[in-house]
Amino acid sequence: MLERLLEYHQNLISDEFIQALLTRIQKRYQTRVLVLGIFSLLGLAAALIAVNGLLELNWYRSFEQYLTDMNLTMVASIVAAIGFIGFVVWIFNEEIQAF
Amino acid sequence: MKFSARSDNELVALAISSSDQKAFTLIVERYQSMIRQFLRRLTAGDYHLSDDLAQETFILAYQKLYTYKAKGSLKSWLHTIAYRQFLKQLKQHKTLELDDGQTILISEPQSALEADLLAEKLMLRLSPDERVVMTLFMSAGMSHSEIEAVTQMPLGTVKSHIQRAKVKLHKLIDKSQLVA
Repeated sequence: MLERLLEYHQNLISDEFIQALLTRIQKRYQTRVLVLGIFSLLGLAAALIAVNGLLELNWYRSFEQYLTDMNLTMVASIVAAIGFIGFVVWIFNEEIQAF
Repeated sequence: MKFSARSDNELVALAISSSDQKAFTLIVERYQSMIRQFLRRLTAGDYHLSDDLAQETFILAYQKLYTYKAKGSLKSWLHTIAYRQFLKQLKQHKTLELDDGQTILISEPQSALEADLLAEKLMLRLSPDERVVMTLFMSAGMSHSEIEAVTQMPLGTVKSHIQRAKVKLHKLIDKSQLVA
């Protein structure tokens, strides 16, 4: 008796359900496109501002000024240290990769 | 080959590859009754909520169709999504509570509508876990292992839920026959 009571008795086929579903899918898609569009525009605007800022900055002159302000010995030491580390890494490359 | 004669997997492949929604519409036509009925049982006859959850189920299915693996059946996959939608709803609102107070008189239903209404009323006496397991087993005709896959419950738990629900409902039927 329980089996008979609990089986599905009706066949719920409705075009309205399908139409409502397709409309909802369409609306979700449009919302997604809208949100993506807005964020793409915001990203583009941020990128334009950043590029504009970089173009206005004379980075080469700033770097030159930075070097003259610093102690030359200090710069030479840093470059030497970086070179040494690079050399050691290059020499022990295989051992480093093995770990 | 006619669209309606195609298998589920062929329809899924067509729905993913083609931009028109004809194949997906056919999937919905094929499974809307089963999924809506399943959710009606889980919500114990809340038609508005169950249809809303059914729509969400098919929207999610449409969006995630490319993740469907043909290893299991489309029926199980859709039921899994529907069950998760139901659990989400349960977590958010906790409105689906047990109703032990009402007396349910079980008489011979005169129509299919009446029979479904009675089945939905009976669900009020079961916990959400018992409802899902019992509906999948008795109404959707799934095997224990299919139910295990849909609900992610261990096989033993599935079996014990079915057993407990059967005892509860049998008691209810016997009691009702005594009243009548």
